[in-house]
Amino acid sequence: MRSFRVLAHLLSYPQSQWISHMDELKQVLLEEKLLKGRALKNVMAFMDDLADTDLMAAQEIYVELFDRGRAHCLHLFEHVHGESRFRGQAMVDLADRYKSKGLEIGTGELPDYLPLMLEFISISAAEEGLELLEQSAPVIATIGEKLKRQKSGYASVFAAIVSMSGARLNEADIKKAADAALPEIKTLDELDEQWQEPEAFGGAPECGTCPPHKTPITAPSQGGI
Amino acid sequence: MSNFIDRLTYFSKVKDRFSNGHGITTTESRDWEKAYRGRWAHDKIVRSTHGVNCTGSCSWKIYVKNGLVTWETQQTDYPRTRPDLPNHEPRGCSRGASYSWYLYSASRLKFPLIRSRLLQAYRAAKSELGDPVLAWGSIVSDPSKANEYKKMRGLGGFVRASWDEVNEITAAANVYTTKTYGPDRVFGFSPIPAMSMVSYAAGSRYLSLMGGVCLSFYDWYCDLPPSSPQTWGEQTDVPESADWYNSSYIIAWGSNVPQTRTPDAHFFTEVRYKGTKTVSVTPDYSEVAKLTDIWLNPRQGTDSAMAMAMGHVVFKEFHLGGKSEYFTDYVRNYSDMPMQILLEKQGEHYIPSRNLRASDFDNDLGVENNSEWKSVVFDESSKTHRVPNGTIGSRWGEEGKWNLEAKDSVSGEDIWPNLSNIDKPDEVLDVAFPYFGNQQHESKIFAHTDHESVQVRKLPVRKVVLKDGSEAYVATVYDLMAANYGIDRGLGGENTASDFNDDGPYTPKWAENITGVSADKIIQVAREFADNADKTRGRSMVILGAAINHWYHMDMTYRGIMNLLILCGCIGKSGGGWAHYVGQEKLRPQTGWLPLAFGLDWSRPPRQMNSTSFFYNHSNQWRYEKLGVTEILSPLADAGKWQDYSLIDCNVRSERMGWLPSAPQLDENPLGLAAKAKNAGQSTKDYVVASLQKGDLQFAAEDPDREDNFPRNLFVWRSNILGSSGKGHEYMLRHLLGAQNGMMSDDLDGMGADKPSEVQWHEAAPEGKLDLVVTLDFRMSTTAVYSDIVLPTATWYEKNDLNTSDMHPFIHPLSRAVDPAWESRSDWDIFKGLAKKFSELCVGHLGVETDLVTVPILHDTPGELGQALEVKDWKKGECDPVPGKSMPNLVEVERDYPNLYKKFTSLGPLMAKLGNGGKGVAWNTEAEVDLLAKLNKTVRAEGVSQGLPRIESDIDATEVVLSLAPETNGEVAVKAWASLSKVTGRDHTHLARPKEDEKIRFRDVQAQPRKIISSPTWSGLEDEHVSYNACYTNVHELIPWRTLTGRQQFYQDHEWMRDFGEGLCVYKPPISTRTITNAVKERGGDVKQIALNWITPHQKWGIHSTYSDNLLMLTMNRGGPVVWLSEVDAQKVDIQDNDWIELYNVNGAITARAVVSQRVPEGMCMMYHAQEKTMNTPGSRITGKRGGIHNSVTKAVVKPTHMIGGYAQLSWGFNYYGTVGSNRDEFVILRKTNTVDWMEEPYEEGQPINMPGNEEVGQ
Repeated sequence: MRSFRVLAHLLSYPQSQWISHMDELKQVLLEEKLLKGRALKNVMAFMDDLADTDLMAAQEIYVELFDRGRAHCLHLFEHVHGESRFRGQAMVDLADRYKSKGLEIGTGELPDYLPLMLEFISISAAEEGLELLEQSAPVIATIGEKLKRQKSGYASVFAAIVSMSGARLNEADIKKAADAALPEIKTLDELDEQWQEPEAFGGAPECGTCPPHKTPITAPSQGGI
Repeated sequence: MSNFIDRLTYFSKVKDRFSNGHGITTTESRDWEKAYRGRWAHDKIVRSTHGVNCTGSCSWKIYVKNGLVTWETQQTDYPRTRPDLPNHEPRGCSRGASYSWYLYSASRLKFPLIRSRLLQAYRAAKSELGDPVLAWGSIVSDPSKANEYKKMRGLGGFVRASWDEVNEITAAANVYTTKTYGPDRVFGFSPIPAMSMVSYAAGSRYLSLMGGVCLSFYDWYCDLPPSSPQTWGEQTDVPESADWYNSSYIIAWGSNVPQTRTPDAHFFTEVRYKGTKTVSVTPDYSEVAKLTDIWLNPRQGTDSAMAMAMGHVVFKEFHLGGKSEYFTDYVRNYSDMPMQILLEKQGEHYIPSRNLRASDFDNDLGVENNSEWKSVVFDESSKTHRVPNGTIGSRWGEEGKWNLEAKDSVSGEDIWPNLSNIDKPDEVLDVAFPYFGNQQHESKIFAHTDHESVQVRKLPVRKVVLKDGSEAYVATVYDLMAANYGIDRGLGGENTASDFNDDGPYTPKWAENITGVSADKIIQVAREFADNADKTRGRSMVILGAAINHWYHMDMTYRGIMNLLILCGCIGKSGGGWAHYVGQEKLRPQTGWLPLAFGLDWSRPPRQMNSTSFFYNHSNQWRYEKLGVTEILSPLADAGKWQDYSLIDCNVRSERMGWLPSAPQLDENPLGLAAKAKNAGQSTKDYVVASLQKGDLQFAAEDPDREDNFPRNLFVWRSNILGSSGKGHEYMLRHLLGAQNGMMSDDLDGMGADKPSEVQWHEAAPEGKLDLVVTLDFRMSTTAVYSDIVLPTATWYEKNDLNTSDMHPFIHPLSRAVDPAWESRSDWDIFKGLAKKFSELCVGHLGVETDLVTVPILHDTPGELGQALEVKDWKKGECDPVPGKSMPNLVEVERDYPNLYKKFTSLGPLMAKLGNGGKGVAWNTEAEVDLLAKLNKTVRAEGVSQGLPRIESDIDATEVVLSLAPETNGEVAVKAWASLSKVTGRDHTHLARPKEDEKIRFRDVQAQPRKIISSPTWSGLEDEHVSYNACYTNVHELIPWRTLTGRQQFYQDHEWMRDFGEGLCVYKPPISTRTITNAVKERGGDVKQIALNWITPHQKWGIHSTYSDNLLMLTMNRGGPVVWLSEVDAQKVDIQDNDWIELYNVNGAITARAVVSQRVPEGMCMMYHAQEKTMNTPGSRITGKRGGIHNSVTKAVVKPTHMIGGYAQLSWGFNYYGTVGSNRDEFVILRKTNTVDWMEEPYEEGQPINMPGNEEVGQ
């Protein structure tokens, strides 16, 4: 499962202390063989790219993609719970899950931070880790799809995670979810449609907690992911 | 066999159904309940609140579980009020309830960020030069290197950096700037200290110990009503919201109470159940309009016309008509109505001049002290002129006579000041009054009348013999007021009205023509208001808001309303008075906080600057000025005297004469002046005066575009100045930042206008004056986007701090419910870290230096007695330059730079040595310093701070505030009152005695909000029997107002006030800003367009820009920037609700969606202010840049009367007086836009910074 730790690094802030170990990281992927085929090839290509990019340029890209705004936020509950009050409790539950394995978060990060989750999976039993990952796969795939449309190499890492999770996802759903979050709007009518407010009590069971716009993914609105 | 053995003896089986089948037992998993049970299971509940901007100051419960904030709810444990008064809670609103979203939201700033191009340049320079300070210098002194990162401001390109590195770069920049240009080139902007005073103090303490400059906010926001200092000598003091419940007639005038005072609005509704009548005054059908019994809707910007008409009704019926003995007594004792005003001959008629003073008489009427500053009344019983107690002259240099007893201050005899000469005038003279209501506005929506500019009216006057034997005429303010309101008194002559339906200034009929409100309604409300006040002895109240204060001539509106309140004896009365709740938010333990905030425990005085003049000057907004001074001059003024002056010239004169502050100060580094003086064999003071006189030395304001005079470093914390309050946003982007902007205005050259006479003109204006912009925030605000370094701060649930408000009398905390998330730090820790780094890096560059601070003449100090009778400018040779009298004071201050950190973290020796005080009252603080030494412990390390009380943590800092302030330490309160008692000659200590032993500490306020203790810093009482109300102690304790006459002033006799026609309150229409030129119209092409007045009210889904990027709040509004307009106007330009629109004028452009609503009247459009341009704002077709914020289409326009200084209540004070940033006289072109460009493509090198000029577009 160490491959997950490799991916955790790839999604963390580019810093020379781990980028300089890129070869070792590659070696892990090749040895463990959890990742195969095109997914592996793409990640390897991204790793090469990253190692070749000027460090500060890579950092600038990272800040722009992941440190600002909601679209690619690496804190997964941003996409699941958004502004809902369930977010706090969900984080507490997730932290409890780590704690039950004897792990505490030592860096001031939040429990739903994707690289942190990947690290957790990397030291979990395969079955358990993959279960956690499978649940989050739709969210991860959606972020990946958005990055792909932006032609960002980071998309390959997200594709790799999804492929390793073993989750079977409906590609059309993911595309739809990415559309909703990052619409390609060509006409004002489309824009109007996008800005249309949903009915206040449109049959949603937990009104007041459901996201205002079309929910990007069919995610559970409470509990852990 | 029987089944006996199967039967149980002790157990019975659980029934699967019970309660007649209503209950059922199952064995299914009940895990789903966990969410609900867990929701109420917390490790702890911590008290905190919401830090800056919001006036609510509501206590909240923050629920914490496993070190994470899960949510917040309202606290409901405020101390009870008293029988027959509702309690304060529940306080809090939807905005506060969504705050915890910010903590973990994707928009949270998590790490220190820095512009990558700057970081690269810095690292390269440092590896070459080694020394951080030299490295910084090598970048900013090379324009090509500096421009490389400056031009990227607003265009992204951030990378993370470690705290060590950002601290090093910032401190290096500060050291370099201090050393090269002077500490007065390092600036900091932070607003509203009341809402998190320690966080404010952190930055201001760092800057003040360095000699850097703190910029004001209240005046810049235009929330400061200068009319309050003018009338009362008081920044702003208002009743708490609970006092609304004591009122029996309330007018909400331009204040949208339910929308913008949500947690207090319940008092407004509750009092209606007692039978109180409520009236609203708003041009649009606002939320408050729906709540009240009567809605008056004057055309926006014309409120003063209505106020004048109401004053006309009240003065005529209740004063001249003798309807209310109460009113007459009140104005005689508590206003300047009986003061005698000299009349000056001008052609055929007379004009009102200055107040008659004791010094005008033979032998100065027996006055020995300050005779030029003692205004005179005419005593009815002795028929002689007397100097009453309580004038400003009695405040300084003597004791015991500064009170409002009706006594002769010389002899101590009882006097009865005469109000009117109508019964036995010596003569009836023609006196002229200015009229401005005939000015034609560039837009037709503002009506004008055809009355003459000079209104000559008959006035009953008396003759006096002056010192030199000459004769002069004087009139009382009372008689002047009657004439100014245009009321016929049977004296004949023209320009007065005997009937409310006559058309002449300022009758109700006249006001109907200007405002559109029917005369009947004006008369009805005025009568009811006054009648109620008469019957209840002053329980009529006006709640007034920013809406009417944000106009260029806001003083006229405010004074119009204040006059009404004073005429009706409402000021200082429970349930009565004015209630202006905008912006200042009342820092209750102010005198305890000042030493911490401005480092007064180590060095005095601090450097402070009024922001409006600063930004007007240094962001070059003056270069594009379209309003001429002579345009706003009184028709009675000598126009020749003002001919060569532009607005910026007036400001420069004001700075030179010591009226307004200056920063950057002089055109030299103030650290070098002492040495130069020594070389010249002179004292620093003499040297500087001589150099200024010779012209060797100049004020920086006289040549703001010279490189040495640029502001260089700017800190912004607790603020979003570029996304919210920055009037002339695009000008700031261009000149201060050198960033891409949408400014389209010609400069004075391009307009063919006259250049300023006092300011050096440079052909090309500099761009990117600021070398470094550092912003501290918890979210990526518009300001952060334009900064070079962005530091992540703790949120309001992650730090310890104090919070007070003008809306209620309690003090309560912000508490650290959880540790600051990610790498964020509290403001206190951030500035402490910077102080440490600065102390390290300065070694070898800066040591112990002598700084020279230019200090303006300050209000509430003996210096406020500046030039008594005439304005004289030393630079014109009209008088000698005397520091502190005719020019700024010049004070040497020692700066011990290597010890800055040690000073930052300890309470300096001056508190024990010099004591503490505020508003002209001083007391000894040795006991409190001892207390703090025990509470906070003392510093053990060797050095300057050894043995002094420690201020290490934010909690230590709160204890300093709480221990030193009379409001939170009863012992200090008694000392403060005793000190004031000496000056007034009356014992006031009884006001604090019952609470003498009360000492409020930080942990106390964490347990429960605490009511503060009455102190002379404020004009109201924190009492168990009355609600807090402004000016209560003036009326009930006979403490004078801090004005020229010691009374509430209807009349302003300063020369500049008279020259601009504001001696008495008049109606002035909005100014023409001339920002819609043909050239800019052409840029719009042939799409249908319409020009509308630009109104920017406070919103429902945000507190300024805070919450305006909060998803919950965005969802409740329309998810992005919107502008409201009327159905009629929308139809004219084919706009439907929710269409994308564009708004622009020469200042810049905005893109937004249209809200087409019946709420809005024709002729105006409204954009709730401070909607972030980072939120769903597309590009503008006009500028090709991203659409701006509401201030993209505004520009600051300063007003000369706000520059007056050195004159009693018209003396400068930080956030007390000065120019204000009005913005509602503005017009914009509005049109539909058919394409939406989100501008997501990356930056391309070489993009132009500025818009093409108008000529280029025309070609």
